[in-house]
Amino acid sequence: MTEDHSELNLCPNCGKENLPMATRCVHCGSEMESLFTIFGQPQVPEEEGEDSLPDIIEEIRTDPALQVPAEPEPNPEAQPSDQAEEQTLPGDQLPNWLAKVRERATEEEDAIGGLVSGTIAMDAVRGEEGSAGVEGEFNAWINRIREKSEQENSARVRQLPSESESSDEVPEWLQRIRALSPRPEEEITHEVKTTPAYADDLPKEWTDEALLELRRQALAEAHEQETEPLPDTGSSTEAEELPAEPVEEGTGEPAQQEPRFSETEFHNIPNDEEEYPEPAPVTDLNLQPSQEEEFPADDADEQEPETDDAKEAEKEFIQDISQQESIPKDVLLEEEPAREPEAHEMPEPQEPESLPAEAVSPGEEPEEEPGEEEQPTESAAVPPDLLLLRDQQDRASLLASLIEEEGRVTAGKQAARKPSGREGRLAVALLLIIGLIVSMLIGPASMPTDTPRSLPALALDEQIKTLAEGDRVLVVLDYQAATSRELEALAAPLLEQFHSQDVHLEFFTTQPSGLFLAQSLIAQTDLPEDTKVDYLPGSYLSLISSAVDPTISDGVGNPNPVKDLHTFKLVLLVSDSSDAIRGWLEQIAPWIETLNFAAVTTQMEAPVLIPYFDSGQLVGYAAGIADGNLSLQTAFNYRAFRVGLLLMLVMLLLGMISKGEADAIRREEESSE
Amino acid sequence: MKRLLPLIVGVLSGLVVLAAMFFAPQGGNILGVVLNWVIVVAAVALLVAIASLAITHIRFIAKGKKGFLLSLVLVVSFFATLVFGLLRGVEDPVFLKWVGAIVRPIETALLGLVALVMMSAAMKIFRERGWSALTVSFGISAIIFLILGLGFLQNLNLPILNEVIGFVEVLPMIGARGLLIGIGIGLLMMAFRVLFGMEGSGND
Repeated sequence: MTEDHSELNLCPNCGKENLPMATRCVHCGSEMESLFTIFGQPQVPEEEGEDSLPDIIEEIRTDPALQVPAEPEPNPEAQPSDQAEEQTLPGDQLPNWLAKVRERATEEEDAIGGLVSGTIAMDAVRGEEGSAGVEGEFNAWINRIREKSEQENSARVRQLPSESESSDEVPEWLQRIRALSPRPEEEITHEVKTTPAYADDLPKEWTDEALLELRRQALAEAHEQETEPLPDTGSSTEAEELPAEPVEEGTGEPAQQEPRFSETEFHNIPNDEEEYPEPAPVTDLNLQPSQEEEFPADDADEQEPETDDAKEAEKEFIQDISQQESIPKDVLLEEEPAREPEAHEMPEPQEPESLPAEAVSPGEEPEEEPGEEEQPTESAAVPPDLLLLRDQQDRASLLASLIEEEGRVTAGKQAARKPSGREGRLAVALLLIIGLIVSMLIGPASMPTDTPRSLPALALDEQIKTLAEGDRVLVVLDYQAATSRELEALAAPLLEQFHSQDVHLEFFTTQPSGLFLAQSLIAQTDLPEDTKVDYLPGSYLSLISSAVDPTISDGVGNPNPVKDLHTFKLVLLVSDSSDAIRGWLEQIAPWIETLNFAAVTTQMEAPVLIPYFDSGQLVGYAAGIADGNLSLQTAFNYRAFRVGLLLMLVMLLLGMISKGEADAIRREEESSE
Repeated sequence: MKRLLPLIVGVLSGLVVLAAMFFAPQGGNILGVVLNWVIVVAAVALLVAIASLAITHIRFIAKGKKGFLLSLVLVVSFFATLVFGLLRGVEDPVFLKWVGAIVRPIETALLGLVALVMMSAAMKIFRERGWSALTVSFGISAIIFLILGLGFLQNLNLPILNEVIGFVEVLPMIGARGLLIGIGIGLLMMAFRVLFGMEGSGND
């Protein structure tokens, strides 16, 4: 890694540097056995040979004997440059270095020597790299100039539509051409071209089909105008003798002069060169040689000003580019001739095809010509100025495809439409409604009488049975109208049982709605209708003080309807709130040890009461349809209840299945992607 | 001062109730007085809430705001109930039957809608929340207890099955105990925060 580069060996094949111990070139893989050296062992002869090479060359240069070959006596220290002279010297008279050189030359295959050959190869490689780099930079520079000029031309063309909008009834492509080469003769001819097709209402946006149609018509008329004067122009004398009819010549000129402005400006019409190659320039270019053959003098007169104009335009174009890019004109001017041979070579193969169409039969209709309908496949059919490089053609085709697809509805990647789920929801709702209606219409199905009751419900029954006649039971109604159906179904049988045992019942409600709910509950039992139900404001909070101090409840002015809780044997809490039951059990029960608490609650709140029953704070509770002896109640539809449970179960399973299906679909999509 | 006064009142009330509980039954009178204050204040607050509700909907009707017809129904029904109750008394059987005939079906229907919403939520929960420990445990427990609620298994009267069912039905007690313990600890912490003035009861 730290070796000096002076110690590196040069490959005799590629001339690149290699390490001294390398037996093969790391660059080209050629053998380097002859250059192999061992570290620590000075190889005197080779080192001498390497060190002595410049000296040898210097001696050869400075040796006066070699510089003057006519000198009769050879200098023993002089180095012969000619092998013939060396061979004339006897072996004993040879200098030591020359003997070494000869000896080495006989040993090595390459007489030049590895070191010299490596140096030569290295120089050759460097030379090639340098020339390639310069050439590459030059080509890149030229490409940049071309791209810049194309961009400018396209920008100029883009600016034209706004101008063309102002000028009515003139096609866009024609205005572009006019703007680029304003010649009155062409304006006349092109205006004639466009009027027949779109005289009344020109489309604001020119599609490819419209441009093609316009081009066909324009070319047809141009061809007519071009071919009609041909017999006139056939004689040079008539053409020269008719200065008063410049228009007739002018009508024929555009066909010949179109290539001139097409050299630079015709590129501004996108896709023209590629999709709709201009037939007129092709035929004109093809006509030129034929006309030169037929009318050499006339063509010479006509071609000279054209070529001069073309050169002038070309120079102007190059000057513009050079001003913008600060490129020397010579470079651009040198490049243009490089393309000229291609241009001059191209029209020649097209001659036989175009001659019969243009020169031989000028009277034919332009539409019938196959050259206009068919698109030339070879670049030879295109004028040299319209020749495009491969990348330019690719870009042009890309642009053409983009223009062609413009305005069309493309079927892009659309987001997967999520199912709204309305149908599914509707189906589920219908299923629920139908199930419930059918189960209700079939009629009430009584609950099986042998349905086992829960342990708290059995404990509550046992507690009720222990009550004796005359015992006071406080019934606290603390539920809403929504849960009244479930709670009344549970509480009514218990109240009847109390009543059957002649237990004294006192009803209180902690909810304002409890007044009319109690009325409904009492109506379902055998209790008298005039059973009084008092409102207990503040619920158990209003009873805490009397529970804490029994003497307070006996005081005068106590607004509570419950005077003394200690006189009750049992408190039955009919509530749809486990919090309310918990408040009674935690705030009131600790102060009155002799008072038992039981509860009737909904099945939803029942699990919270399990710990209180387990700890003995609740002597029992009834919850759910099984605990309320609902088989005795005809109003209860057990079948509807079961249908509701089944539907709930089905919905739950459907949710699981749909989720599993969605996951499977997603996994499949991910795996496919 | 605006925040300090309610804070002082709250802290003192808590300390008084706590002291009355500790020194029961001697502190029963004080406890009863404080709790009666609470009931009276709550009743007054309820009256204020009713008045505010009525005034708000009367304003909606006067301004002709969108949905004022519903406000009109509310105000008319409110004043009709108020007038009827004042005339016939809140314990009149006709009045109670009339109110009950309106309120009971409405609230029952709302509870039925809750059941349907729960069904829909049970179906959507897996799609919305995906497969997680919460949703899976919910689904399994729901399926098990729905099957048990149907009563098919209980009607089989198999001793082993009944033991299993009994074991499963006791499982909610675990959750209930945890829930109650959590509620107790939360209430205790809340009481300490109020007592030590850490709870911003006087926040605007």
